[in-house]
Amino acid sequence: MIELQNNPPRPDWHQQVEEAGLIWHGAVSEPYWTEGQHLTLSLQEAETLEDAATELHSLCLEACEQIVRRDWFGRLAIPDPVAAQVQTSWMAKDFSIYGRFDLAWDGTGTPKLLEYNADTPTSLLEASVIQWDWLEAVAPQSDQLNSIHEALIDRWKLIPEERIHFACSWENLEDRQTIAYLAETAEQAGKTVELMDMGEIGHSPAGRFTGLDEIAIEKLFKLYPWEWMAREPLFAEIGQERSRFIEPIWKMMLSNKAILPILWELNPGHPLLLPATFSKETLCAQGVSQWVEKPFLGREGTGITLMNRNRQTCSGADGYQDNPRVFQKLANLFTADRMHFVWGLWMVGDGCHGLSARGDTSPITGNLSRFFPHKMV
Amino acid sequence: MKRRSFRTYINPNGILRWSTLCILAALPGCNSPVATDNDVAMAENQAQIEQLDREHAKLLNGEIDNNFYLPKLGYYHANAHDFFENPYGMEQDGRYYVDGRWQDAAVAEYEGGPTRPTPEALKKIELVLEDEQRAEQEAEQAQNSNYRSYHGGSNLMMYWLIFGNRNTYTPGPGFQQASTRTAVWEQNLASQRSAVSSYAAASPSYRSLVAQSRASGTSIHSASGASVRGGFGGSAHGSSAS
Repeated sequence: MIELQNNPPRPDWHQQVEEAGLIWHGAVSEPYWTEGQHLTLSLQEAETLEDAATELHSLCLEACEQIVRRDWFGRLAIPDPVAAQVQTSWMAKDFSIYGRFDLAWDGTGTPKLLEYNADTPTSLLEASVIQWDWLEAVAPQSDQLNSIHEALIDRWKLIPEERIHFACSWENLEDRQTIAYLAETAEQAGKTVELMDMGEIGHSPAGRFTGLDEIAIEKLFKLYPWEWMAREPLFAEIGQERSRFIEPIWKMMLSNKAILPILWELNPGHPLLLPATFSKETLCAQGVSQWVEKPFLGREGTGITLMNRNRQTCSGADGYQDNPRVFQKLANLFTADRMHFVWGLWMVGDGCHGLSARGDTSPITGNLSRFFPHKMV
Repeated sequence: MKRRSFRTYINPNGILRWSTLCILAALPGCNSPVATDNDVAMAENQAQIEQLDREHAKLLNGEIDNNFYLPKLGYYHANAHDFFENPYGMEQDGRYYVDGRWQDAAVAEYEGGPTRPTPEALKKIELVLEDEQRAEQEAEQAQNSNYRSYHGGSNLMMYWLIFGNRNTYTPGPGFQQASTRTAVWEQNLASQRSAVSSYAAASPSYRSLVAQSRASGTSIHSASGASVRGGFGGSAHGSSAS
């Protein structure tokens, strides 16, 4: 049975997590890393979540295939010039590293897909390293669904290029540490790595993207959404350089909430999916009375609204008003100690390699929702 | 599901640890912030002032360290008591530069102290000093303040200080004229110092560039190259987290 349990905090946990790279733990402001509580679940329960992620990953890849075949890019509001790149990227099987499913599950029935953070997932360092260090220190005899670190190293080894650049919006410390951690795993895979700001990416007269040393970039991991890149000047130069980018541009099909009604349409009644539609009326016609409205390209709970019939019951931060929206049946989250929990299932390549959990007093997970470590008992 | 067979290993000298230390030390960037042409010019200015401060006593005594660099003169080779275009011991294509000549044999590291330049070397300094004073006067006549702020202080003072070795050299008009200008150069140097301080105070990225340059032992280079930059990153207004 899934439980939220208390544990004595490690006396030096601030130093421990900071030394491991988690400098935004929120100990002196809004708490983010939760040191004194954790979630416990059985091996069978962890495997239920793991199997769900594996199955959902297959459904998502099949959905990508259908979007490309049926030219459904308009349904995802992906403009034509971008769609052409997405289509080529999918057909060329451009290389992907990782992604994170967010699932709802209260321990009964089957987990349900809330969304797939396929392009720019964060909270990676805490999922892979910080919660593992916590387990080693607090419950060394217990286990954890967590082989993210090794899986990332193995994944980088599949790339023939020796030098990999990692870029993000530099002023954001969480993003910086996320690419630094990914670069660490690439370094451990034998690669030479460079960190940079997105604004430092250059484009040479020879048509190559370049680092600050003017040397052509062989591979670039970017923690920066494709939909942002698509409206920026250098996107016009992607052309033949497309396959150098990780995550690949085909992930635009999955990081878009419009994938939810498409998945439901392709797999009606699937036990891992929630009814989801492009219109409120269609969802209500299926007998759904409580739902969640989500902007196509929303992030960290912004623009999300919970509805009970036509009455708003909860909403995230304002934003994405100009985004089209999807309507998804409200799911049952695991709740304990007045908090609601969402499960993060980490895909590396095509395999599920980790579990993480975020909790909040609000049923909408936002950027201030807390990270809870877990152990299997 | 399988328990890990080893502890998650973060390399103590790896990129994550480095990034963490940079952030905790409040350095603006682990990468190199892009240096502008102004940054590069100001850094050169600052380096010359610091060099002058560091070497002031020795120069005043007429002594120069091996590989001391003076603009328009080159590198001082202490063994030869003279200036040459390349650093002492510089290696290129398997050959080594010593005392104005390339040789095949590797050069032992110079272990001696500072030496006094020969009269011939002092003559070179005087010629440069004359040129610089002429340029300075022309700039003053043209009221070109840039000349003063970027070139008129530390270099002239260094040339002048080396004149301390005047016992072995009969100074010509260049040195004689210079003796009447030192008060102006001191003033210019003070202006340069002030300009560098103000620039550094107003520019965190410049301070970071200087800190990184000192740590790495490399000079600051302008990032302007053939590539167009700034074409990505403009949409970021916060985290890209999801």
